[in-house]
Amino acid sequence: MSDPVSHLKQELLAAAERQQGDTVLASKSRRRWLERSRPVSGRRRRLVVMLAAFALATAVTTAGWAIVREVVLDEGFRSLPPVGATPSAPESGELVIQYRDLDHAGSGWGWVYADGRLITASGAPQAVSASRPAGFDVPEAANRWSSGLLEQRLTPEGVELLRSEIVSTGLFEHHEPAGRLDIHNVIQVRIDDRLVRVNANFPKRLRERLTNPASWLPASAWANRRIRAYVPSRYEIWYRAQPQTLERSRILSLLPETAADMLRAKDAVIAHGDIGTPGFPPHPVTGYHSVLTTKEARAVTQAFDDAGLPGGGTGYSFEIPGTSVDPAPPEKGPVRNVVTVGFTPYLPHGETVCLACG
Amino acid sequence: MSNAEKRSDTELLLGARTSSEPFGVFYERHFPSVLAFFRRRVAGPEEAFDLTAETFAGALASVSRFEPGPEPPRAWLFAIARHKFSEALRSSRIQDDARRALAMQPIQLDDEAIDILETTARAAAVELLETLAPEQRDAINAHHVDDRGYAEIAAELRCSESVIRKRVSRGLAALHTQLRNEGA
Repeated sequence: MSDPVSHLKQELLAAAERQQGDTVLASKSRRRWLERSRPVSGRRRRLVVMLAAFALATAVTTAGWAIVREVVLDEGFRSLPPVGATPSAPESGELVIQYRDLDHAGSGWGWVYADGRLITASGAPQAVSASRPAGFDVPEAANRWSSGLLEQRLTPEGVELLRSEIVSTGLFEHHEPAGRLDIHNVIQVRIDDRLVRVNANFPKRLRERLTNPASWLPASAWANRRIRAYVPSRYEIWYRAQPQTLERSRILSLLPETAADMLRAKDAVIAHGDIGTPGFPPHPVTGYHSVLTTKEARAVTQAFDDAGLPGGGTGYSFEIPGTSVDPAPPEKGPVRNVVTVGFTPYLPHGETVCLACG
Repeated sequence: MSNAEKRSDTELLLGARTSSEPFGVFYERHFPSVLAFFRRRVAGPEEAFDLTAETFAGALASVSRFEPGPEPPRAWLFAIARHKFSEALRSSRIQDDARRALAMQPIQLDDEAIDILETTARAAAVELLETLAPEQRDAINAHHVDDRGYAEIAAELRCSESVIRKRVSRGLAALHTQLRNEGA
């Protein structure tokens, strides 16, 4: 498209529609949380838990991944996996291919491991909107905006076929050392025992083949072509206070006791960043990151839910009572300081992935 | 003219919280002046376009927090633009955080696209010139655009050279004030 003014307008309108769609989904998810958090009697709670456990057990034994996905979908795909969902095994894996693509057909991520695991995720095409919901045609998708993390299994032959397809594009004649997929249109592949990367627009054929490997890989390339949800073994929990940054010990003291005890026992990595309103000096904010097993992450969210913290799934945010800070712009007046907690899934090669980040 | 096009900037930004169309109108209304703002400050149209795109993406991401105040929404938009520009200067690169956060695609600019951008940026500057009093605009055009001397212009208009100098000087001062108001 050569008219950049119109092109940018289309991008902004699509982003606005996605943003409004996220707001709708967030409100829906919040409504669900509110419904869930209404006081229930002990007897009723036990009944709900028993029925849920029964439903899940039935699902796992009769229909496997499809029902697990349904359970996850019901909670929003950014939630933790349901109790009973088996984590993907083995816990760690050696990365052979990794890509992050973004074009008019939507966004796509993929990770292929030496053990044959093919983990993919796709996001809604730019053209999808509330008025055009049919544009995102992924039957296994968690919702209209994201497929969530999905897993299939390749044979060693399948891994090599996929790797060769990428290398044969010629893109890797000039490559650079591998790194995080922090920009769009990046592909990394293992060549001679070394993971290397290129940042380029994907050729049409490669894009089509990565989007739908089942359409061209032979039957012998698949150990299990059936798509199921990728269930992480570990999550990264991150927490911070803003706009006024707080020490880790102070934030933990504001969390429910069981969750705080669990997090105190974990090592935490400190991350420094800035937040703020455009046009005003940024506020420095310090965040803390720890690694939790999925079971521990679930226990932490359970403690949050039991304490009635606003949020749910993989994100919580609450105001600290009695605080008053003055973020820019000044005309907005003082606000309460806020603690935000989030959970991000780990992939087998030890990196986290934020699908919501595009 | 659609209903959205008749609405004020404040109405558009408030409407943009629940619908995409008002933001599109707001974008079309202010794109040329934001592009021209950056074009006056950076070396090329590509950089100006990237900064403009990042500014509107930042505005879209913040639209839910926009509150009408004594300053016009245009000032709010240019505050974002100034912030993006100072960020770019500080880091020696044009950030794309806002566009990435909104999962917006990179836009490739070919020669035709660059021509469109340059024309749009120039048109915004000409539009600004149109706001001046006619005698000031003509004097600036004659001296700075057509590169004619004060004496020659004064002879044509049958007035003294000092009058032409004053018209140019006052016109430039008025432009300077306008540019400062939009965040220059």
